[in-house]
Amino acid sequence: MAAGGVGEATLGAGLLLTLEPTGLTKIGGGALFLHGADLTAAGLKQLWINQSVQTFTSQIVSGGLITTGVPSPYANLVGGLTEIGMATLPIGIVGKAGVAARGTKGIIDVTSKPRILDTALVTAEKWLKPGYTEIGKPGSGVYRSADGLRQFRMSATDIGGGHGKIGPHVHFEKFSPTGEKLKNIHTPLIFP
Amino acid sequence: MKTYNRFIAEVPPVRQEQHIRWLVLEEDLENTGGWYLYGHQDLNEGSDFDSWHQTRPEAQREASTRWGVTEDDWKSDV
Repeated sequence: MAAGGVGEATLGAGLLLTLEPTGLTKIGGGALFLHGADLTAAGLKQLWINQSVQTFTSQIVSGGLITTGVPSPYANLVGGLTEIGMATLPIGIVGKAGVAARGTKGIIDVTSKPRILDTALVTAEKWLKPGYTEIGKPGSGVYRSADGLRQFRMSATDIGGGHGKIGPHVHFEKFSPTGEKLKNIHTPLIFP
Repeated sequence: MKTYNRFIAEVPPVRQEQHIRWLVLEEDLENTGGWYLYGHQDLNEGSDFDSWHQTRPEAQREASTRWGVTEDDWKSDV
């Protein structure tokens, strides 16, 4: 139990230090680290007193159920099952982060889920941050952030669906400091 | 009638990604004053992606660095 806990906590700490854009590894890593520490403490105590010891996670869940009137054997069973769940849930979260990060890694042109125009405009404000300017001809519909690293594009042909297989759409784009395009998210528009 | 510039280039087979075989470079005088770079799997269908550039050299630079399309590869389509 203690060895498993140390392993889980180490894995959790590693995930906390992993550089990844979604932040999901931080949530999963934090949960793994805390649960690993709980498992380690229970394991060491079990070695010391030579008796079976429940983790805090398991105690909290089973204790709570007993308080609400659930018979102790059932409550302990649920506590034990939660224990297993606590170990697997963060792994699931981390797995999801991996898929999300892998999904579009290295691919510049991607298509997002459709949005209504109002939602896209609210997202655009957040994407560009204050200080953005319109570039190209006045009324072009191409907006660049103050630091030059982000762009929102809704030109007449984008919104009109005059090109492309996805019909009316807008763009959220990201550049490197040297001007290289890193991401070009095509967001289809829906008109409810 | 307004005239506009449009060029087509075939992406070298070794540089084709996401099944993009053709690039179209199109001037957008009327709306943005910039240049569109379209990626097509098939020229008879709509584009699979589009990017926008303030100038033609900027669009051609992207075509060159990302897709390996050189200046000589572009053929006028007007």
